[in-house]
Amino acid sequence: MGLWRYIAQRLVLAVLVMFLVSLGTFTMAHAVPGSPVEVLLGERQAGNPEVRAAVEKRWGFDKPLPVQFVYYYRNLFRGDLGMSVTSRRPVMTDLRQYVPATIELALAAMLYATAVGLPLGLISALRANRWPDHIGRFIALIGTSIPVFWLGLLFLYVFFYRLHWLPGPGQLDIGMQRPERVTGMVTVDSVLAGDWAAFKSALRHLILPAVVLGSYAMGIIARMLRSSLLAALSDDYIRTARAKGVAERAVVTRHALRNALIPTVTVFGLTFASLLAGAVLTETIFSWPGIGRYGTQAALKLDYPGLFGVTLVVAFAYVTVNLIVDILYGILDPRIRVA
Amino acid sequence: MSENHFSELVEQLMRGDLSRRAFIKRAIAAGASASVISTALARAAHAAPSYREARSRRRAQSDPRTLVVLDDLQGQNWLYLDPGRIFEINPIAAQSLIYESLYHLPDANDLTRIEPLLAEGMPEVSDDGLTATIRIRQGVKFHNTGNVMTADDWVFSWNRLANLKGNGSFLFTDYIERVEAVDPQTLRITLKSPNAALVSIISSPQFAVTDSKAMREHGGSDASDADQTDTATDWINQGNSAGTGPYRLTVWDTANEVVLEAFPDYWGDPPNFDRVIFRAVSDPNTQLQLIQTGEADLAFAIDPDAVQRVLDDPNMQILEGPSLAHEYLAMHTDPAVGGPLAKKELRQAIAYAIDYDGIINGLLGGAALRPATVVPLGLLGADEAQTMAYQTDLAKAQELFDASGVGEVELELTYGAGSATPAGLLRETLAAKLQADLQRINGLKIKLTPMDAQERLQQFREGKLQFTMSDWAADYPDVHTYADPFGRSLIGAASKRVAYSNAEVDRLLDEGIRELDPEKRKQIYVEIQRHLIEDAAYVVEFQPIYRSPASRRVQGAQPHGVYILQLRYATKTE
Repeated sequence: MGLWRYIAQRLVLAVLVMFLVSLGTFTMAHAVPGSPVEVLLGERQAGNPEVRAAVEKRWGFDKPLPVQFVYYYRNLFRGDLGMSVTSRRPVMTDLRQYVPATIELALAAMLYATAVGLPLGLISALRANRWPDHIGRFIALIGTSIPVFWLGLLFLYVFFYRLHWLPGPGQLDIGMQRPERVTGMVTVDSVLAGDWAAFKSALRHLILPAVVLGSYAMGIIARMLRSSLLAALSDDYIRTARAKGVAERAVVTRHALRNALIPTVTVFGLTFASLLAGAVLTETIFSWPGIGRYGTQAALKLDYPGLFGVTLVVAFAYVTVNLIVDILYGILDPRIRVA
Repeated sequence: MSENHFSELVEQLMRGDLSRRAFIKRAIAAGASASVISTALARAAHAAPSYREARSRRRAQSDPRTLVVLDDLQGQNWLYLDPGRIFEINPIAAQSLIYESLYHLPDANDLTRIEPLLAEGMPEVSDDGLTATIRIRQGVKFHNTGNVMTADDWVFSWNRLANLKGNGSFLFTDYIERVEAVDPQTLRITLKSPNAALVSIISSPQFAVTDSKAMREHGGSDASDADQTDTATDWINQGNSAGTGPYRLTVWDTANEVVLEAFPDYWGDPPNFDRVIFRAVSDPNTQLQLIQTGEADLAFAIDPDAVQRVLDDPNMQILEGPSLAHEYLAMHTDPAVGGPLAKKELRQAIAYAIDYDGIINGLLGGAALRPATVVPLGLLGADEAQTMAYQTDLAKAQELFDASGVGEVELELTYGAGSATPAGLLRETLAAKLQADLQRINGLKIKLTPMDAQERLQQFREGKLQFTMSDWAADYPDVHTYADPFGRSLIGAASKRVAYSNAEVDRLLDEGIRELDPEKRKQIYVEIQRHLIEDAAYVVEFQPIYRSPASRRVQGAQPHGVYILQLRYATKTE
């Protein structure tokens, strides 16, 4: 029963975090100077007090802040996030359009990060302080320390512009018809539509942004696995296992790796935050139609409803991933449930 | 058979369609011997371009019947192409290919040349100047429905523009009383007051005709409550169009692409492209790379820093066209706000002290013109006013400064922090240059005050700023839309911000808007400009030239003061 109690606790905390995040965003958005009315109307019309008043009324800017906040929450529970000032569409519609592209990109990035990061960490740990380790650590270091925007521009320059190995920005080739929208993820939708040309194009377009976005997580995973595996390998139980005559391969995979993975899983969850932050830059560089780019536009144009929508989605994703990590952690290691 | 297959492979290799590695693989599979393969490879090495070169060239030779235009679609507010609502800048380039007005401005360099498009000729104006009668073109068909355009469609479209109460509605409601269909081929416009700028006002993209039947069918309304009830914009934004232009909209997805397709029943010359694609690419540097690799044909704008790179590339060019925007300094003429600036001599001294050439050539890389005052070059009377412009003359500036008797003064020059002028020059940079220029006058100190951009605009609008940097863009391409807001005493949209007043200018403005004879009208506006220059409440530093990076294969496209990018006459070679 301890596990259920633990999960319930985490859930309550998650909801609290979501509320605080939205409260924080709301306060900050209104603390910065400037008015969304100007953005909506433009120079000429905003000078007209009548038009201004009408617009303020229509978008609810004429109400005091706490009232705006209450309205906001009331509508939120009805599934209405308001109208985006930048796109002039319901924020829900915008999110439904842009979230899948970000999920697709984030999944691909995570896939890359694990597929490269885990073996890299494993090799580094097993060949500690020898040249495979040095190379592995160097790659991981580059992954964690090079800024995403720089890496993005560099990769575009090298692999698209110079070598023509991979396509430029966007999700599909220019002028290519998009497969019918089902999940919103182009790779998946093109498979569902049986459109292999589109699938191939989508996959090729996904590689560069995914590698760029996933490089930080890749580095973190490799480094974390290396250090925790090294720590585990020097533990007493490993010595015992070896003394018992367990084969080295089994020592590593069954005993050490399993324990070393626990901190790596946690880090995986934490890295997710950097992934979302990186998505803002990656999506801008690669013209990727996700919420990162949408959020940037919303922020630049003081689009409170749009900004809120993005913040909630990001907070929700972050909280969910961490909740899953916490629960996994609890399952993997019963001691944590008590603490 | 294997023989045949092998020679085919060799041919492919020679053409560069096959990589060397793929060639070897397939040749082995076809049973060719090693010596034959290596001979073929050696020959190909001399004769053929490398696989990679060939591939990049093939990309560069992409379909000449497709035009690919790059823009940061979301960042540039591609919100809708609906003529009743559009008021954003860049999407006009697409909108003007889909929707057409009665008149248009074919030449970006001469915006006084307005020609009939869907009108049969110029309007017949009554003696009192209050009604204009226009014959419309016959046999014009609408996209998709095949409906034939009649005067009723115009009445619907214009009333809808007015009643949507959107950003562009004032273009109708400020000037036009009503519009009626006299018969299916004739339109009668009743004006609020005689207006010599009528033709240029109704040439605006907002006054384009839409298919009233199709629009009504999809929720369009021209009734007085259209702002509440009309839903046709949503329908248009699903990738539909109801215009008469050479292209119709087929995909509206501003996160990715906006696609226009040729309209086969177009009334005029058949369109030059099968498709025009506006592709979303946010980063200007990446836009250039796409044009350089031949994946795209042109973009809307270019970073000044990248211009040289384009000029050095034999496959690229820079297209230029004057904008209708300008960057100006506003000086408050009321002592309560302007302080010493209330002295005309001080304002004139400032106008003489600015190093205009340095700004245009040094900071803008030559991508700007310099009108004498607030009327941009290309509009009526602006060229004639050029000789009256202030020229940089420090001696004269010092003389006027001393004559003003203000003694040692410090002026506070405000600007929007992080904001850019119409040509994309950071105001911080321009402000530093202006400060250095003006402080060459002995006794004058300039204090730079960056402000939040919105806050600055707000305060400027309320007439609270002593000395500030701002810009202005056209409502419609006529001299009056500049002369009036800047010249009209105390109540003009710009003049009230600096408390400018001159009774003679008011009189001339009233005269100018009524005068239908272009030559006489021109003289009136030259006279107005003479006063504005003399009074020096505004000093225009420059009028940007729009610069578009393009592939050399593109001809006939031009940056345009109204259409932003005029693509109607564009063609592309193989």
